[in-house]
Amino acid sequence: MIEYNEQQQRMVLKLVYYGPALSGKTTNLLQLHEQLIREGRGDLMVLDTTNDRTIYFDLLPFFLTATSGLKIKIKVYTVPGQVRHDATRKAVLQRADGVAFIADSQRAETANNVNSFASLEDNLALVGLNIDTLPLVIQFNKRDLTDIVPEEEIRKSWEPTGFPVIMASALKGCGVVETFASLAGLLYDRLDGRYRLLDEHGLAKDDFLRCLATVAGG
Amino acid sequence: MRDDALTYVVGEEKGLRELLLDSEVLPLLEGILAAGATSAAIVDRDDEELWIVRDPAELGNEVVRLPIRLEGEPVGTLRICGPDESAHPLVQMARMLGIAIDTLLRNNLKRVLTTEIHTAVVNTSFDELVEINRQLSESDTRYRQLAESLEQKVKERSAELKKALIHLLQQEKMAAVGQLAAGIAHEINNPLGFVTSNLHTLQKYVSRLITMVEYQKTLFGVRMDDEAKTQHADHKWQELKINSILTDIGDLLHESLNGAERVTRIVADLKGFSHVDEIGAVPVDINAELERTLSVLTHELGPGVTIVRDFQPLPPFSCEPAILGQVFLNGAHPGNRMGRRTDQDQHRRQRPGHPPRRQGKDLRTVFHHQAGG
Repeated sequence: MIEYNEQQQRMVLKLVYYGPALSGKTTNLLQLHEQLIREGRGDLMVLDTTNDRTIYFDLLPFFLTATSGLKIKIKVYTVPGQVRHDATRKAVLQRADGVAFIADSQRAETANNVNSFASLEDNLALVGLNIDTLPLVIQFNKRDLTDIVPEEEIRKSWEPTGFPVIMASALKGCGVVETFASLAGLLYDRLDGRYRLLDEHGLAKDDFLRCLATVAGG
Repeated sequence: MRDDALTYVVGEEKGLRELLLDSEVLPLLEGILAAGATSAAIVDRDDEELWIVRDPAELGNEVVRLPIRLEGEPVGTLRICGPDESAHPLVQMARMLGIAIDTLLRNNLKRVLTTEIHTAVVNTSFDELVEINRQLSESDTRYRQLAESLEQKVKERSAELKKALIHLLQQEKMAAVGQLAAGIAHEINNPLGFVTSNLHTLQKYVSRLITMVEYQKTLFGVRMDDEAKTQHADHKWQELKINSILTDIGDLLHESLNGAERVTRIVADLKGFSHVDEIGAVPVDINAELERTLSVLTHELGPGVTIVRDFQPLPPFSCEPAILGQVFLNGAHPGNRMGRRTDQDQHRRQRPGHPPRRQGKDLRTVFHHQAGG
């Protein structure tokens, strides 16, 4: 958590889209920006890029207010996927409240997925976060491509981790909102357990999810 | 992370005051004032004025309020007052101003975020470099210590080897000295053996001669004719084999004297070779020194070995003869000494009374010395 000010009734949270290079993290945020209702969120801020590759991060902010008056701001970040930007990933991961791991479904990228997930585990430990309790969802992106690992195989190898696994095609806009909603759901559960969102702030999970993940025109 | 480093948490909330500078905002607000507004202000979400410019002479009503958003969230308001008649153009200008402030805010936020993440990365990288440097220095120190101790170990091992080598050389030297001593003992033992043997024979001969002389003396006192006496004497002469004694006695004495001379010469050579009486450098005749060494070595030479001497006259050379002798000995020493030893005295005449076992005992003594040396 970036900030929690009880007096000001303000909570600032951080969600991070992590994954190997070119797996579609920024595309996920672009699609969220595209698909979700404008209300309750800001614009996608893309920091300087090199040849369309993220070198710092992208940021999509969301905000909502509970009936108690508690203002919750959720900042969704992407990290640069390239191995060389590990220091940036570590900096962005600091105080994260949840992670969406965006994997590349292409067969050729299997090793990169595994390495990136290992780096996520390492970096979480380095910034003092526990992967076992942190809200984490896994998205297998690029399902629209041909030479991809079959869903069955993916579920067989990743579901035993206990993390929700979602198939997606960010470029086509499929599975993106589901991934975000899944992560938001886990985030709510964790916050509710700790800050009693429903009991003390009158914020139900459905309302929370509706504020964050309602598709425009839906 | 070091104490003096700037630390940022990516995502920390920023206020308007942190993102906008007076020098950026005030000219914009003054611009709208110049265009006819009576006051222009930016207030935060609690309506607290952050920036305000106003025309003190004019009063006007609020003509427009525009929200200022940061990351999509309303964080303040742009408030413009002016005369009612200018309301319409002022609203249009205020919208323009709003867009300008929004752009400014967005760009400044980007810049700040970039700077922060960059600083965070630089800090992390620096800390990692410091850590890597520390580890490298540590490993460098460790290897340096290893290298130093290795040098020390090599020195120690070299010293041990040197010591062992010296010990070995000393042992070799002692063995050589022992062998030499055994050889010389053998060399002396041989003449001594036959001199002793000859003396035993001579003792017997003398005893028989005495018997003969006493017989003749007794015969003189006996009343008997001369012929009979001569006959008795001759008989006794024959019986005691005086003739052969007289033939042999000269040879025996000559041989014994030779033997004694041989011992004398060996002892003299040995003494000369060891130079026990000389200290320090003296003028040395190198040829004589070589000769002395060869004479000491005689017993070491196998059968069929001929020493060819081709000495040229040399001027006296100032040195320590003992050392020179040692050099010659080392140089001239036959390589394979063991097992090639043969009895040097095969030519020795076997004398009556010379105990034949002596020779074997001598050899055993020699080999005992060799083994023990």
